[in-house]
Amino acid sequence: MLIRPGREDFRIVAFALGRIFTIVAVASILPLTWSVLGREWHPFASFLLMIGVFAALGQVCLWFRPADDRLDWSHGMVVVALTWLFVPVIGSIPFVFSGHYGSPIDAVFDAMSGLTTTGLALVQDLDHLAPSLNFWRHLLHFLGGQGIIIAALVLFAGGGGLTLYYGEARDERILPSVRSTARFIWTVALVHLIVGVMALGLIAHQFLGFDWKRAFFHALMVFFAAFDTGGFTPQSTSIAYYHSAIFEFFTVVLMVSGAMSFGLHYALWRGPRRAPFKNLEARTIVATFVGTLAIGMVGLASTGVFTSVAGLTRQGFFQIVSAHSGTGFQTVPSVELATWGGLAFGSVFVAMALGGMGSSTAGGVKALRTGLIVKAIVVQTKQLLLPEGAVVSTEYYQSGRRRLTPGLAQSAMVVALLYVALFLLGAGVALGYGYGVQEALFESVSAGANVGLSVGLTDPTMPVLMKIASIGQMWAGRLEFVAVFALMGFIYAWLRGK
Amino acid sequence: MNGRGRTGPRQTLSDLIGAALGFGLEILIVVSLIAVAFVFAVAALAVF
Repeated sequence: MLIRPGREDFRIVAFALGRIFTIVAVASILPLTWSVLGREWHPFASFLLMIGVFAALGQVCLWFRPADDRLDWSHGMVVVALTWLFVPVIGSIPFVFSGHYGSPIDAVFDAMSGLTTTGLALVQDLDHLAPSLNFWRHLLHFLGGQGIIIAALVLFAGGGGLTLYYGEARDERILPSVRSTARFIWTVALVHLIVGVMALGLIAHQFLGFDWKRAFFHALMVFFAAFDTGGFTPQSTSIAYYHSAIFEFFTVVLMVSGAMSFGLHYALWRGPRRAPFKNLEARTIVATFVGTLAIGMVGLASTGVFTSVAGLTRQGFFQIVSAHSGTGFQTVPSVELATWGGLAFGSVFVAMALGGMGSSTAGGVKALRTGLIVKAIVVQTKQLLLPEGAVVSTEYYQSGRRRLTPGLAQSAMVVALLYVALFLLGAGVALGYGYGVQEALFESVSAGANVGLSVGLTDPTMPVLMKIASIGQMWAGRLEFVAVFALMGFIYAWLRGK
Repeated sequence: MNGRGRTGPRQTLSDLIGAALGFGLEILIVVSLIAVAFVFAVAALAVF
């Protein structure tokens, strides 16, 4: 029997949401300032409206101050799930009034895609979108990738931080306190921001001939999308727009950096520097990356899409990194990607589903879960083959020696199965509208694993139900289901509980 | 970092060195992966 949430439970949730909305209202001053500097008065008005809605809603929520604002597990999960629903809806206001979206659903789709660092887009005539709106699209990547909740934890030391932290699909607490962990995550992001924007800006200026202002703008946008494994770009042709191998190289460095867990970043910064390379997670992602790369290369060579070593290395490598890191940048057009049949298509598909490392900005099943599932299968197989009574080691290394318990293996498998179900659900909707199996599955995995690669299905003309299904997939995939189920349970308990 | 939130000039310098090492390693990882991709590309084109 479920216990119906009481008035105090609603006050706790509302109060936490009020804090988060206030933070987003403050963050939204950045695109507002950008619009003022660029004298873009139409976007300025819509940003003002959005900030007003965030601030007003935040203040209303803050009126419901509970007697004790400490969040328990269920409160935290509900707050996270609602945050990731409300922020894209309100954050889509500037898009709705921009004239670049066919409907409000399209605008919410892009805002959800931005916040969940997916990168699928329904924007029309992107090449002529106001820079401040483009900045807001990419800032959503940064807010979502680094975590709105993480920002809240840095600013407010309120109780229940841990549940919010885990609710946002981060399963690794790097430092003893959640607040210091949150601070470290933002420090890593800010240092990468400075170095990344400087590197990309210099390349754009020196090698692409951009003036400084344009170089800085493109560098900042691409940084947000690469480091947060998002996938939006300021131009409709994605990274192919730059036609530059060195620009692609630094973009790959940022994508790899974004797909690395913050635990690994911590080890590189503060030591012990060698230990993380013994981790099951690091070894798994290297193995799956090399595997999908090999299969992809063979597939591309066999279909004859690329005939030169340089072309095959550059395009194949970039697309596999983009898929495996969950970024979704493209150096080949969607229509061309759709022609990569067989092995090449399959390798990109698998790389997208597997995703990056846990506690990173990447989506997908995640390397640690894949490693644990493989380990569990190996243990089971050994137990079957070896004589009865033989002891099979269930140890693995992940920041120290650990044992693979049946519960751990089960939880990894359950999440992986939920991802498969999410992928099939999205593909089922597309199949219902008559799209091909291959393209329906590809686009569904891209949305559910928060990647953003597209073979052309994601388009303003796609059916509304498919857009809504993709929005749901991006949301559930980013939160790795737990917070979503907690919200459903909370609503059910409110309606049917005693 | 000793886990007790110690900050100061020494910590900042250590972080800067760590960040530089981190960037160096990230670039090394990408260069190594490109080398692997190159080998795969040569082998795949040689076969097909």
